[in-house]
Amino acid sequence: MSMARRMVVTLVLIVGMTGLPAVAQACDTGYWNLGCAYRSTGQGSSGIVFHSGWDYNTIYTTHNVSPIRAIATDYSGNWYTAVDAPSGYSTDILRTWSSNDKIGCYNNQGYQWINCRRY
Amino acid sequence: MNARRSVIATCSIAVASIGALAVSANAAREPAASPDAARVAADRELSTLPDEARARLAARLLEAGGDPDTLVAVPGVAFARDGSRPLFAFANLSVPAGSPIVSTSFAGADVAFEEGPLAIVTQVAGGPDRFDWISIAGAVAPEVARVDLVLRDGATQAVALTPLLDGYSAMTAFSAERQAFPVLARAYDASGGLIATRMIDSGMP
Repeated sequence: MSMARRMVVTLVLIVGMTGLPAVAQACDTGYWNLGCAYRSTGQGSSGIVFHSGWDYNTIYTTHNVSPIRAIATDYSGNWYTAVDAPSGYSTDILRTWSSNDKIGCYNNQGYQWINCRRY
Repeated sequence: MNARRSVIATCSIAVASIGALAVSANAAREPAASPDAARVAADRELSTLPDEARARLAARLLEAGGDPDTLVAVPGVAFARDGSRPLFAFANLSVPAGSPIVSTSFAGADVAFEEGPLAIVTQVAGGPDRFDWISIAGAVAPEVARVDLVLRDGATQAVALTPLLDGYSAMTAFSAERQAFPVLARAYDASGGLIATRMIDSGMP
């Protein structure tokens, strides 16, 4: 392979890597990450709450099409409440939690990339 | 008519809680309340929140770099400044006693109004198969003079706006009747021109 061709290939690789969507780069495997993937309508991610009792749990989502619903549910998935907030906001939910309750994110409309985190 | 009544434009709550600050929808472009009056309003409004909620809101404000002395809150929206930069959070949505209490982080106008001059937070009880009630809170940009809600039964409900500062205002609404769940919010300027439309998705099929 010629030097020029090698340079072109290298450049393409660099552009390709740096051109990855920012959303993908934001994914991580921390305990706070409940899901980081494309989701269809009606799909979501959730996790057991950290602690029981009267306290906050926080959901933060980034997404690329429409608001993502922050949800609080019981262990069986029955919803206590659901909240849509503008992109860029995190949502704090204050209630009396049971140890096996869940919090998470629910895609209410469209096929879109969602990064769902709890704090 | 019952359905229309059931959507409670909670400026009436604002009237009870902050008296003179409550205004009709058309008053959104009137001069903002004085800082002192606004502070009194904030104290009264925030006092309706549990201690944990007030503490969380204060922590959120500090996270965003806001000045606690500039905090103003009316039903649905809290407003503060980072220098001259306005910050908005959504808090104290009108919900039945015992319901989860929801608030948000603070963000600048560039985030809050990224999609237009009407920013809305929706809280729904139940779902995805059961829907007990819906509560919405909206932050309204200065260019908006009137907001209407279109209900699920097709009726239109005018929403009163409560002034914040710098020309911004807030709105809230609540319904426990499915046919009166708001499905759309429309924002108009002072000349009556439609300048923004927001879908309100309860998730109900």
